[in-house]
Amino acid sequence: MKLRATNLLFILTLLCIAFACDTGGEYTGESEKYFIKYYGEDGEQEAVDFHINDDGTVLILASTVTPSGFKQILLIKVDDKGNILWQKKYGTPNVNEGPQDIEPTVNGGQFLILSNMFLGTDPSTNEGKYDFKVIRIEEDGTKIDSMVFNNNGGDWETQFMRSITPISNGGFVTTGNSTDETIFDPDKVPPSVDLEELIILTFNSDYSQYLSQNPVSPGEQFGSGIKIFEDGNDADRFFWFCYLDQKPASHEAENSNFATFSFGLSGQLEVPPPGSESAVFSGVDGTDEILVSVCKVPNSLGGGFYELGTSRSSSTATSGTLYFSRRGPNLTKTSEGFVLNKEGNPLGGNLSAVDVAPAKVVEGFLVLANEQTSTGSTIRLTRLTSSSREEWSTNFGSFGRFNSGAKVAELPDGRIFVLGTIALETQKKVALIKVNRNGEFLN
Amino acid sequence: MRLSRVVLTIFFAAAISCLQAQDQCELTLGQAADEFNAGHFYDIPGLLKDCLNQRQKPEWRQRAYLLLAQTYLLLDDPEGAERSYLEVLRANPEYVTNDTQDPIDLVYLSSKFTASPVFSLFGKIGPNVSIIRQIVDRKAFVGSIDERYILRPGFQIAFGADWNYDDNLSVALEGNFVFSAYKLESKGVFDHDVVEFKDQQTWARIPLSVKYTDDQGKYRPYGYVGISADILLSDRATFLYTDGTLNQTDGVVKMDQQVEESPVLNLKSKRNTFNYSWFIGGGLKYKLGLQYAFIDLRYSFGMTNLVNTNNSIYEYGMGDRTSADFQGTGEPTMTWGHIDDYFRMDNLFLSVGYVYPLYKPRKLKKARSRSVLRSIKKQKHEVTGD
Repeated sequence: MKLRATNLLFILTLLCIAFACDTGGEYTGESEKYFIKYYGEDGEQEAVDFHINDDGTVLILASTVTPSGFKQILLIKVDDKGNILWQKKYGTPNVNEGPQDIEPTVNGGQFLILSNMFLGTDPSTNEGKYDFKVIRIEEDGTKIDSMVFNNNGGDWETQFMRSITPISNGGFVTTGNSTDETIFDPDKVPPSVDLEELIILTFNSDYSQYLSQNPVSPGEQFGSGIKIFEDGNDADRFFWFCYLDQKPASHEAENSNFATFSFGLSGQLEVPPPGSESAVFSGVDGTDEILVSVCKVPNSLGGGFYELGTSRSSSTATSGTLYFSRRGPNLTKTSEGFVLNKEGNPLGGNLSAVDVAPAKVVEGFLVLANEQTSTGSTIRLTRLTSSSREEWSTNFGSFGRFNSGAKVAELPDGRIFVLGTIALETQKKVALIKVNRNGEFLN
Repeated sequence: MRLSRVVLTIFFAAAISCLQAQDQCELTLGQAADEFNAGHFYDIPGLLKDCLNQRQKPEWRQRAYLLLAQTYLLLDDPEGAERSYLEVLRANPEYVTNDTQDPIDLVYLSSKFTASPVFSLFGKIGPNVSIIRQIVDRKAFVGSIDERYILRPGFQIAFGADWNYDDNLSVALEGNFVFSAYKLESKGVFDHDVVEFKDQQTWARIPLSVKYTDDQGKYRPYGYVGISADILLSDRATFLYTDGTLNQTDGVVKMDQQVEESPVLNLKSKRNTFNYSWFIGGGLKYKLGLQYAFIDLRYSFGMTNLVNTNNSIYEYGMGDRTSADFQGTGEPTMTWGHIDDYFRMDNLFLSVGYVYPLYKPRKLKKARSRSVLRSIKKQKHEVTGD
């Protein structure tokens, strides 16, 4: 009798195992842990920037081409699973808008969108002319107001702004350049004559000029302001990160280098005393270091700033390897050099830097770049140690198509968000990628 | 020409000789039956011996050995009777004595034997369809997308064997080679795009089932339930992407369409190789002589998620994650925007086939004599009653 009961139990156990099928419960929450989502509509869309809110939702800034052929600003809000909460379009009818940056205001609750507008081609030079626009929106995307710079009342030919930084007084500062050659194509080889001026513009919340005198370009043939931060200790002081081909005293060649300046309410750049110019510049003599992105370094990683750009061996190259410069809270340079691979050599691949973000859960930095392939480009995500050495790299996008990265950020749990443009079979679409702390689509 | 005539002549001579021999043996069997009826039992084995050593038709052999079995029973030679009855069953495995017409000792003898097949071989072929049961909805495209799985025809071929526990109950083990297919259609992608994902699998499946079969009549219905080990051999897919775009020309908005088809993509690494399923089924067997033709309908419930959760987008474990090979594994997602749902796959199989029973005449360890005894009692009762 006892034997029969054991047999029965054995058979029942076998039946339970055999009848157990895979169910959705086993995968609960997996779609939140990693995914790739494509956003867009008719035509082509290209990713530009994102902002991750405290509640895990994400504002994605992108461009889209309307049926009439004009580029517009596309703003999409998604939840932490990548589902669309809403999407809105902004832009002037029949004008090509080039969204560039989105940032939350200092007091929160609102966002500023920076856009460069293509105004047409100058028939005398056959070059494009641009103006920029700032749109202020509510958290739900409702437009509050906007301003168009109007080429400084028509006095300036063209300008292209690279970033917008909301400041404590409720206003904002923007920086960029007057280039008309490399607009919308930062990889394009810069002109050999002086056609570019670095620009800083400061505004109050009512769009009036904040500083009576805006900082002026330190002198260069080409370059661009990339990012401005308020000094965390002094609201009346700003840190300006840019690249330009002004020759440092220690260099023999006039090539582009990263440059970092500070300025106060007077608008005058605070230039180091003679003999200390190297404190301003970061770069290699004879090669172009083009700054692309700057992030604030959390105090847990030492504070200060991390600059990332592309080092190009020749003026005709459109990509190269990655170059970094680390600075302390007062812009004191602590280190600079090539981003290194695991073996200690410059990171391989034909790379163009895109973005850098601090990684706190696993200390280091997340670097986003575009890697040129024989027939296109893929998105390269690399985790660096705090000493800027590669821990791992992974690529996204089909090898034979032109994919490009836009933004990278670490989430509180160490997972990583990557925003990019993926070239699907027929069209480019905005892609939001969520991967684990190793850059994998895995739990 | 001459050679062929010689061959033909030899062939016809042999055929005529064979027919003559059969006719002769038919006469001999008739003579033996006469001897039996006359009570001359001892002569019968010797009379039939030569013919039994020759090649004879099964029907003739059945009659001859039946006569011999009865003869040996009357000669009180049980071993000879059993040998002969065994030969009866070899000549006709489905021979059964008639309780009311055959002598009771022969009926009793028959109860000690059976020729029922221990194993039956079968083969079958037919179409199938695959029903996708979604476990987790996953997609790379967002927004209001009308997504549905569509049936596509596949086919299967199978061979197997039944182990017959008795005349009704059997256990079947099969080897199936299955080609399955389905289509996933997504409409409304990026407003006006349509994506068709056609997926085809090749499987080796090993189903094991318990079957109950009616053992009487020309048409014999049956039903079964079982479990199957399903090994995925290959998985290949294609995409058909119809890109609909509204374009405005001279104030007129019109829809332009661009259709692109992918090459055949190997998705094997994105699937789990080892899976299993439960199935139920039934059918109808049609008796064709000693064999059967049948038609079978089976529904298989896939129990496992077919998607390899670790490789569903990229195939990890290939080394350098920046290499072209690695990027190639992400082609369905990165070029065609596809991510598999987690899903189980059911299948509906329709098959026609043929059963070849391996009859095995043998003596039973325990005679099925209860029914015979009942018959004897009944006969006695009838005699007493007269």
